[in-house]
Amino acid sequence: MEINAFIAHLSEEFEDLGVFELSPSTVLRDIPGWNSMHILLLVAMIDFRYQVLLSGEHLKAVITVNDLFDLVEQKQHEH
Amino acid sequence: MNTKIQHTRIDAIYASVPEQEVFTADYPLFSPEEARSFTKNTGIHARRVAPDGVTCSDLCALAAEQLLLDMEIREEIDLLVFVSQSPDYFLPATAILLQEKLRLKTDCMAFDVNLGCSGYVYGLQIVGQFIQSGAVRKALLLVGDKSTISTAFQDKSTYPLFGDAGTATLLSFSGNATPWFINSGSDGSGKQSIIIEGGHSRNPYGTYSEELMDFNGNQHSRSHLHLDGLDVFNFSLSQVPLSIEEALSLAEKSIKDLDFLVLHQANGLITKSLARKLSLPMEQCLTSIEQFGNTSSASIPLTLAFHGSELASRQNLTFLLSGFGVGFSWASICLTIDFPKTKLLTYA
Repeated sequence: MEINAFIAHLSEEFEDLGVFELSPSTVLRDIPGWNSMHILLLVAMIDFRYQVLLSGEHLKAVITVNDLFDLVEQKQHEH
Repeated sequence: MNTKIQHTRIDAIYASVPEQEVFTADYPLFSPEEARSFTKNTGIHARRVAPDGVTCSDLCALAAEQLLLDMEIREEIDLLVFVSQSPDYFLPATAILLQEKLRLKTDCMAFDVNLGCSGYVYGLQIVGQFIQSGAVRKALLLVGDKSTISTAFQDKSTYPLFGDAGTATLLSFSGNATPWFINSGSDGSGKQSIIIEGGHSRNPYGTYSEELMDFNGNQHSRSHLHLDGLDVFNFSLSQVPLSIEEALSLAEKSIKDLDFLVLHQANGLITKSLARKLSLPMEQCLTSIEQFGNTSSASIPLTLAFHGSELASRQNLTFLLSGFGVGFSWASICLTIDFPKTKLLTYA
């Protein structure tokens, strides 16, 4: 699993947020236009592409894109 | 639980929606960007809202009355089942009120089933059991909800999501009917994810404050519907594919054998995610959420009636219908049928 590919997949899901550039340090909640629907979009994408289904409990500690990437990697290893 | 139902035919599916159409773009709590994002991801462009004084049973009764007139079988109905979570009264059961309203014989069993989004498939299963036993020859399954009565205007997670609808399905005994294969289940650990806490025995009216409370920026009281979108999304993505695979396996079919998948119209994102997970093209997923929103238990029969003109008189179609939601509760049915008579009516 590679973070640039992960960011590219996230960006595809968030195309309605415009030209905002995601990076590992991007704080998800600070993305202009961010709302609860985007959480569902990222959960759906991660479930489909990485076979990891994240719950609200899992996501509580996630602040940045990198946190999310680490969480997905960790959950993949737990499988 | 896995079930096989035999000798049961779906003769007709009628649906009724209120005249008043409400558009996502007009919801004042959404910015234009939010409204666009909401419509793009949920699919919901508009929904129908029943006015004060019009209940789910009124919507179902309109569909059922037209169906009874068209099919000329009023005297033959042995069973009426009303599936809803918005009954007319705490008691008596709404099904019994409908027996009188529809002028059905008194030698007709009538009862309510309290289920939400899984309710249509459960209803088919319940009615099918009576029919295959030989006790019932013809039955009316009336399914729907007036969900808009329980959503708080200030709650962006529910208010713009739900629409009202009522449906009527006529089922009858047929020696030639192909069997139905059903998987159904329940998981009460999800009870807090979709709930109206106040107003019944646990928290009777008058014993709690009607004040609005904040839930992640959305406000509603304990008398309103509370919905945790992420919990429901996770439940849907984990449980529904398993249930669908199980129903297909019982029928000795695979996803490739399906002509159409009709999922409960929870939101467009769930439908797309499930189709993607099941490797089924979206063209084979019938939807109605764009025009009617999430219509709870009515969504599957409403979707079938909505697509009725394009599917009319087509024979030997294999469908997978899957309802899932509040409870949690879920049920999936695989059936091969000649497409039944359908009608979509407007309640004015």
